[in-house]
Amino acid sequence: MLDFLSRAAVALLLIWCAATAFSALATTFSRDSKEETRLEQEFASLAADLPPRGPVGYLDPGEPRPGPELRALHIAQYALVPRLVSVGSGPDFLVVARVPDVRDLDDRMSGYEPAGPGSAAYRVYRRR
Amino acid sequence: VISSLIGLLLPAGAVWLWLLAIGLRAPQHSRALTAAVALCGGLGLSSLVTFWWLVAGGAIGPLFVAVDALSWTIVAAFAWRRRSSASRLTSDVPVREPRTPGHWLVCAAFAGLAAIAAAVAVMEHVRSPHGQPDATLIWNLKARFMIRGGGDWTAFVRVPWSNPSHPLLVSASVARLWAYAGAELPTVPLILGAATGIAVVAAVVGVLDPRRTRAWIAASVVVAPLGFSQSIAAQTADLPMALYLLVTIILIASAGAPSAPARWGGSAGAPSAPARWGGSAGAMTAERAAIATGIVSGLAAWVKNEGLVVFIIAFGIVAWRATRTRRPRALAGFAAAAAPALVTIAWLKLVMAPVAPEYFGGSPGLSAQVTAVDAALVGTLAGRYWMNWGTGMMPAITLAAAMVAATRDGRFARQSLAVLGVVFAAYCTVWWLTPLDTAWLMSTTADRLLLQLWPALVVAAFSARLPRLPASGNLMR
Repeated sequence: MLDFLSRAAVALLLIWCAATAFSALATTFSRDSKEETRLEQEFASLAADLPPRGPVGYLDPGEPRPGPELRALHIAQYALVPRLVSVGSGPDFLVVARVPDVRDLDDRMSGYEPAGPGSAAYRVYRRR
Repeated sequence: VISSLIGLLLPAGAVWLWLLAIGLRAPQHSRALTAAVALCGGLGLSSLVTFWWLVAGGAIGPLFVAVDALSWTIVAAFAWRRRSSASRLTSDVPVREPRTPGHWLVCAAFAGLAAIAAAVAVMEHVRSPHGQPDATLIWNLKARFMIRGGGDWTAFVRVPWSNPSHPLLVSASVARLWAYAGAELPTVPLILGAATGIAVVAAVVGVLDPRRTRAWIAASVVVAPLGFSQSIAAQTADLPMALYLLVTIILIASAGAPSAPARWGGSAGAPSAPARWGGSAGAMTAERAAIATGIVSGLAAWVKNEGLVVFIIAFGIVAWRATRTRRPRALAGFAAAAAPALVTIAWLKLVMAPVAPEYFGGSPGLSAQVTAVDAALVGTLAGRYWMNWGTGMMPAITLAAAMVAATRDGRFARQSLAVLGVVFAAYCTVWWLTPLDTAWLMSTTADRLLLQLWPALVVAAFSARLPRLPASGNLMR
């Protein structure tokens, strides 16, 4: 009897494990996000327009807040190592989000000029 | 990829040979446990070498790879020579036990679950080749500074979100393996995660005896949840932390033979005779056990800040045993073994990056504040505890571990739960004292911290009727 109960307990436990594992598989399968990979490649493509090291400014239409905007800043830093990416202008080089109104409305960009063609969503500026 | 595998296996193999050479090993049927300990040692020690190479001004490039590979080969060769003479003194007789169809059925179930876990890890990697956010914020970011930064590799200290003072075992290992691969391949951190996951399973199976069905049931339970399989591809330090915590607990338990401590080492254990963690012939000396515990627990502190708690617990237990058995050499051996990792941590935290962790405000000193513990916080934690490890699985395993601990032969479970309880209390203390939003911090860290406890908790739950450790440290039966 005890043997039967222990076998039943093991069977139940393994079924529980299988259900958990298949649930994990389904959860992972349903996810679809390659956004960060795309961003990393995009920022890495800007490296050719930047000096090999040193500080780089980062300008976005607004202050980076928790969410996609802040995540983009983090990915920019990751892609552009060993450069040091920080929010705001000041450094000789800036990575700027290619949003039409940023260049015109943001006075933080005065004194800078495009340094290269940039990517789809970002462009490098350098001090004139 | 093959080069990075060589870079991963070379120090682990060298440490394995040294473990055999000095007689610190599990019995023949638990080679898996020896392999897990060897990976802990190899990974940790090679990351220390990488760090000090950088501190000395060396770049992580082809020269580093050549010197590193040559050094570990020499270490392995010396260990092999010592092992050759030591192995003649051993008398491990392979034990053949009849395997029932049920045993093979459970093994097959484990194989299926491990395949699913591997599939989840691969899918995760395809979806996020650079790992979970913490990988690009902290661990791989620092590895890139090490690889790309040259003499300015410490510039990551000026990246505020990188948690500059976090220990660097994972980052230095990734940088080292990237150097072996000759490129910053995203698959390299995945390989590191996979090796760590395999080592966790090896430690679980090894300590519970692979000839016994329960070892494979326990391994099935460990690999089933999403949190475990995801962590393989996460490229963070939580799975390595789980490994070092598990192995430290195993070493503490295997070194603790209160029934006959006087028979360990000293006059009873001839220095030339290879001691073992198990088996009937050898006696593991208290000093050697303490050395192994010192290496692994010291390296645990080099994995993550939580590891410092693990080290302090290990130190306390070894010091208590050394005092009780009047064996100060055991404590000295423990301290000497942990010293390389501790000196490195001190250098990192006091000289290179004297910044408090983000969860203490990121400023020097303990700028902490007490957060009121309310029902919402407890509910958040309980929800994670209940749901995120396969509905109800973690509470069930905790209950099973507690039941085993309450039995007469539940010594291993009692020790494990005591250590895990202190570690969990440390997590709660940080949540309680942090100036950050506690609910946010808890929601973003609870799953990862529970992962760290998971393998050791499962082993405790399946450790019923492990016999009391005799003088020979017969843990693995």
